[in-house]
Amino acid sequence: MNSSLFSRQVAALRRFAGVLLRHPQSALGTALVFFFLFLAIFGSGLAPYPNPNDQRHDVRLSPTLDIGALQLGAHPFGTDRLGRDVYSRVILGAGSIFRIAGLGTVISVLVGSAVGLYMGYRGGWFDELLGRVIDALLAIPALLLALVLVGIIRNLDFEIGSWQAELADNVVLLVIAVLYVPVVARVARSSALDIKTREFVEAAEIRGEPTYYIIFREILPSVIPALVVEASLRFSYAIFLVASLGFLGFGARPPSPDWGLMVNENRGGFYQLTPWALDFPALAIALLVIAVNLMSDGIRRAVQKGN
Amino acid sequence: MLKFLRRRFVFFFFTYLISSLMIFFLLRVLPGDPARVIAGGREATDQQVEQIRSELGLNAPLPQQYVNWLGNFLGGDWGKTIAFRGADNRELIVQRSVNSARLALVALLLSVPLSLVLGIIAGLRENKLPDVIISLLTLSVVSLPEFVTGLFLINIVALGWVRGPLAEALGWWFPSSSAVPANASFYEMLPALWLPAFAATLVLLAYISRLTRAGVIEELKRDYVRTAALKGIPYRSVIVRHVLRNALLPTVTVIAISITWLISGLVVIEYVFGFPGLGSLLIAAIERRDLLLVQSIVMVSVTVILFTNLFADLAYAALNPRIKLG
Repeated sequence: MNSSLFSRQVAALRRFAGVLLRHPQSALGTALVFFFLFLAIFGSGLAPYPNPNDQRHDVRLSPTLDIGALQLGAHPFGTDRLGRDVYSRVILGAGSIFRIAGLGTVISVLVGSAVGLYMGYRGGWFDELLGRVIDALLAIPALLLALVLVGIIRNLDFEIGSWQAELADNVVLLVIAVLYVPVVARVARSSALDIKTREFVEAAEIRGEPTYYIIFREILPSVIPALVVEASLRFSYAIFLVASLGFLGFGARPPSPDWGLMVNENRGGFYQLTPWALDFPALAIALLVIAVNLMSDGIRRAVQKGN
Repeated sequence: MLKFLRRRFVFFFFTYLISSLMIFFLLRVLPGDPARVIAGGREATDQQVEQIRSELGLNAPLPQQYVNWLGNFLGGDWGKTIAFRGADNRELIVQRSVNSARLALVALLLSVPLSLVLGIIAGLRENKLPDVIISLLTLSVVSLPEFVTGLFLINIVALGWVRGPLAEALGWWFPSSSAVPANASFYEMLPALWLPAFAATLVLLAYISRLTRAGVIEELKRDYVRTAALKGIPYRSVIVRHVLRNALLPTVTVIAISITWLISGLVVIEYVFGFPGLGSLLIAAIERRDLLLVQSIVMVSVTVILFTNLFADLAYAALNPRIKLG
């Protein structure tokens, strides 16, 4: 890659970031997402009690957080009915939701765009058939399919330590990746259909370039804006889905500090005893979902403006 | 028109076939043995497993099992549950579906008019203050996961505000749990429906109002709007007679999308509120590893979705003569 091309790309990225951050809503959303990302990466260093299941504290302590005095106190978000520090658990919970939703999105975008670009470029019966199958797959709501898949895979018993058991531990991640492949493929396909009639693709065909070269070096660069928008949208849906599955008891298992799970564990009668043990993780989910929505809305706007 | 109808029906049957194949094989081909799971895992003896296997017809070749299962499903024989003391799957599912449909009906009656109004206001005042407020609200508060809004309604509204003097003066309140008997009548169920329906309404609001807003903005940019305005037709009647008439045509599609969304959204809402609908039945069926019941529930959901989409497409084509039918 020569230097002028590189600097052009840096300039494009800077323009993109400029448009994204100009809107106060999307700037706020992006900032919040990066804040949560920071928690996800450095959470174990930031949490006062790095072990989420540390039970050495008094049970059901009210939050000591004092926003007026800017003081955190010993247990900013209180302790739950088992004597675990809610503040530490909320911080430590950021890691799993980002890892599952993020990796799931990355896998689905990579696989989905490869499949979709090939479908669009190749066309013909192959495209027609796979397109119909994708339409049929999308007729089943994602949450229903996720529930069924997670429920079944988790109930199979594998040898402890085998690769299947390893896979079953990451079942939500895999399910998200699998569920979103057809969605991404559909977007990539329609973009590829549009691009493949351009002259530079025809020129590459006449030069006799191989298919993978045409797809990845000629078509892919023009499709990236559409894929970026789709990826950010997928990420926001993935966060939503991970939180919902965790809440329904189909995500992380107790006692892991998963936000959705914490909300579920502290609802009903327990809410009267320790409302803060539900309110703070629910607030974290709400903030993250709103932030990701605002950011992906901003990304869509910035990409549309860039074109 | 005939060609359109034919293509639409072919697509309908193809989709139905593919999704039924997928539902069947996902639940049968995945590693692990359903018969052993039902018999009780590793502790079960081979003899017990074998007995369950032959009872469920699991010894036949897979394609034959699929044909048997689909034939039984379409013929109305959905088998007996394992999870619910041998009740008939079909009776159970029909009863729960009726309950979910009641909830969905209340949610649609609340959300469709409200979100159309909000969407039209936002669209007519694009990028002005009302639009910014409505867009920000639909992007943030109402796009929260259903369980967050649901728990907010239970913990704050049902347990907090509604017991106050205002509610007592009015003589009504919202129960914090919707765990009514599954066979209650619509009238008996109604008090328990408001809060879950309101939780669903909040999420639907975001969906429908954003689509309506986009439709209104698009129509306002058309040439005929300018022509009508230049002819001296009052703004109000340009909007009412021309813009809204065209902009609201896709509402049919919107309602179809809402019903599709409701099918998965209600799973979470019913679980949060403890409402005896199809969604909470699905979760119970998965937790108790009742494969046949799970398959039937998912098939029923897919059937409802496909029929809704088919109906929406046909209604849209019938209402909009400009659509090329071919």
